[in-house]
Amino acid sequence: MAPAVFAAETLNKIEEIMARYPTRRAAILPVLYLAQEEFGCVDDRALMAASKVLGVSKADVYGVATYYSMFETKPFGRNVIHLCDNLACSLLGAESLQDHLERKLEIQMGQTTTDGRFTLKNAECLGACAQAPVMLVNDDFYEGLTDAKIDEILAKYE
Amino acid sequence: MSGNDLINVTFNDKAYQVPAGLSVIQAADRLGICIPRFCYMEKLSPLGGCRMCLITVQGIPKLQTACTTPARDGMVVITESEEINEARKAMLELQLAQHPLDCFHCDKATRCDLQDLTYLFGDIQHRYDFPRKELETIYENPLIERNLARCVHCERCIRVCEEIQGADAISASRRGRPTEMREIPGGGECQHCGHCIDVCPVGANLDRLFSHRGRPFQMEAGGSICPYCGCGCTLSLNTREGRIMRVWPRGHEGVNHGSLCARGRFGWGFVNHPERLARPRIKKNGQLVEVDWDEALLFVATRLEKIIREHGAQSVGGLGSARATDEANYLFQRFMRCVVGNNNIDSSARFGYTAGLMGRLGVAGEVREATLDDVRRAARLLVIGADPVETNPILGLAMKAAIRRGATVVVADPRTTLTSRWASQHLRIRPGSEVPLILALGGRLLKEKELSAFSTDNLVTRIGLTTDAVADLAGMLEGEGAQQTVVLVGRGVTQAPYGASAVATLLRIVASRRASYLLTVDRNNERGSCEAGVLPDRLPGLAPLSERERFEKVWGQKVPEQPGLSAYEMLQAAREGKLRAFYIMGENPVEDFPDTGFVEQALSSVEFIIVQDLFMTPTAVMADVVLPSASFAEKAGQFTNLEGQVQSYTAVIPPVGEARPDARILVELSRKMGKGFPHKNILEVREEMNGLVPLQESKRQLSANGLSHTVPGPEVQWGPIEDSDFPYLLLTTASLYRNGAESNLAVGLLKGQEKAALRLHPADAESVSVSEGDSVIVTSKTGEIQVSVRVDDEIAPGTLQLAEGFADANPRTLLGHALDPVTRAPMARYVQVKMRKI
Repeated sequence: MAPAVFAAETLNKIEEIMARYPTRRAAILPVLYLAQEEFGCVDDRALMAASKVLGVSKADVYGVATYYSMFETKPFGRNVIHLCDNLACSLLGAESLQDHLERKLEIQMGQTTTDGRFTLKNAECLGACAQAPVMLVNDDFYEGLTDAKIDEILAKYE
Repeated sequence: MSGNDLINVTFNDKAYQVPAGLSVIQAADRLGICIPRFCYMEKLSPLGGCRMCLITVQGIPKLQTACTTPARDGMVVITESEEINEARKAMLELQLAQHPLDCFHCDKATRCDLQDLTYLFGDIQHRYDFPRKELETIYENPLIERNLARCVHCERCIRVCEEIQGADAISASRRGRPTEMREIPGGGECQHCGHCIDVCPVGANLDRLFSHRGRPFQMEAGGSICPYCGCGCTLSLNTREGRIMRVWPRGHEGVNHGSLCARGRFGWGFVNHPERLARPRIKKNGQLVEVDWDEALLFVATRLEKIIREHGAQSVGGLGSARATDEANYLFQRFMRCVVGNNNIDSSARFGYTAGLMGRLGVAGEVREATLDDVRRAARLLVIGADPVETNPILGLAMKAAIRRGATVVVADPRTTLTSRWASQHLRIRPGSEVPLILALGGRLLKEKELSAFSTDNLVTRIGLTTDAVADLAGMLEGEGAQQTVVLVGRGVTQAPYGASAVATLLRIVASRRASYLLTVDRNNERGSCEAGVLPDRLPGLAPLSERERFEKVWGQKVPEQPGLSAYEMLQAAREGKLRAFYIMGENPVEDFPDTGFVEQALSSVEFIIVQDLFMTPTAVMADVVLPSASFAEKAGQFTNLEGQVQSYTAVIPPVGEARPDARILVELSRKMGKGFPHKNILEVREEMNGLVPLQESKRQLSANGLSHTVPGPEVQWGPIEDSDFPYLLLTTASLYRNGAESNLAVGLLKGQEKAALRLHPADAESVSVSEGDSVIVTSKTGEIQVSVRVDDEIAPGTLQLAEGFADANPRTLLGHALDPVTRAPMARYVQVKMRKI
């Protein structure tokens, strides 16, 4: 299996990123963001590309990619919902919100809708416990969620 | 504080002194104070992950991990208390709540740290009620099982793979409870050293060849020395009922410091292979048929005597073995010299160590030889024409250890190798220019008139390097730091034309700069066989034939005065009909010598061939007598490793069938021929040999002003001459997974890599329209092979790389046998070929 190939423009960005860090290993995280953006997910070929351009082992890159919940090793939907399930959110009804999302989208947690519109994931604490329950859709943050509010929010994403 | 300073530490109310610079757990280990641990290991960086080594340090309110806490002067430490025990038991409780507890069918049961620590503490509570781990067991690696559910997350395997092996194949993936220590899906980075199996405290990383072949307490362990390469690693053979079940390193002992390579750990399968020769065979009516030893030896004696009588002693040739023990080689040369009566004695060391030895003999006085430990401590390594990571993997690890300590490594090699990938700088010289490169260094550093031409004329066209690059390289051997420079020299130099002269030049540089050197040695006992006297012009201890009198006195037998023929000179003589009989002890020229066609033709002209081996090799098939010999595990003896260290070992299991140790066969044959050797056992042979050749004797001969080497003129053609009919240049390499015929019969190595692969640049793959995995026919002037391709953009365009040693596609078939004027060995590093898709 040959590694994926980064666009020349991305390679320039990667050079800039690597120059900011004392070690190449430290640049794994930002490079994985770029890889996910460019290749859609960080599958084996994308990991190999990242490992090669960084000059760090595939094992290291794989470890980082599977550790953080924002990286996907398989293709995912156009929009990703990260629903927090940590303590404060759970106490304030995150579980029933999850039921609502699963029913509405007709998928289970971790899955992608058949039309590829949404992927539903749990997130670790998003750092906004005072406004719980909370979720992220892509990079947009939503707080004080209810079933009705969720319906409204999802309508905004195609 | 220097390393010799002592500090005062109190452990459990007792005062001690320990060296400064240790962690608390290191100090405790040295004092014999037991602190439990899963993740800590002396040879690995501390992690502080398992929380089993918790201790109390006076003045610090919370428990501390002993592995990450430095021992300080005046420190007061408690290693056992109720609080500490409760904390450790809580850790075990968490481990046991997740562990599958499938000890009944775990290979590690009774040798498991989790079992032992649970047993030690005894009353562990079980308050957690969450489901046991349901992680899969991964069999993607052909040799190592990854039983993820049993893992205790100590990360020893990750650290050993990264910090010692340098393969970086294992990572901690996912997080929290489902964390997996595994290779990334698809793998491919693992070099099958198996170190992760040794360091695993539980049954998470397991040897698949050993799977369910016995409980640890049913194994008997016997120490031995690895029979593959010249490193001479210490092994522990685990046996059951006379058969090898698995191989381990023996603690931290030996030159290998507890590491092994794929060959050492997984290459033992040939020993109990069903095809091992169990009884002698002699040719009757064109067929090799089994006979008893008496008949076979009598047959050999009668035929040899007849040939000597009718055609003279000179009509017999002998190949000792770069694999056999020092003792067997010593007796072999004595047999050829005293019983047969000539000096026609050589071995496959001729293609490796012998050339280096001849170079060394050309330098008078002391030249510092590096040990593996010197390599580990080196500040600079200059690697010329060598790929230690594949030929001598433990030397490769020593190099990686040096790199981790900050050493600069420069590799001068036309090939892309596992070694060049580790280099701080890879100088991709033109194929065949190792020798002119060394001569150019000599021109710069030795200021000798005859070398000056090499430092000034057009280096770029001849070597492929700029004058500045050569100057930089020379800089590694200049100044104060030169003493910490180790030069590693491999077959890229010793198999090149005038390789021995180049070694001599290089060693004069090394000596003048007080640097040190080490020759990589492909076969386990190349050095020992030479030092035992398996050379046509040197007696045991490398004594010249002129010193034969003192040998004759001890042997009570005459030693011929005339130097004999070297390996290829014997083959040439055979082809000319001058060699009537050939005694081949443990060598396999048909497969292992360059230019297979020539070798076969030469051997088929010999009237009477004796082959002594473990298997019916392609050479044995051509023999008139085949004598089954005992493997390394089945006999006692000693090997001399690449550093010159002599290591003895004893038999661990009985020989297969009626196989006998080489030394015993030689003694019995000498008696049948009426010039019997007196030895009753191997110790008597060793005693005689060591009496004649004290360990320092070889060193004395090395430093005596012996050979003089001609420095070749600049007009010599170094690289290949372009030939449009054969547009590609095939460069031979080495493989971790092969080393001689035995390696092709070791199931573990076949699993590591089943078949040969031709590595080539994508552009060259495109030019013959092949992609990864397709097969090509490669043709040279002497032969043809079929092999599948592996596309690799780091290979130089126009060159093909093929490892020696794979039985299915052997580059030696393609090589020629033009002999070097100095060593009389074939120059066999590259060959011009053409290639087409099948």
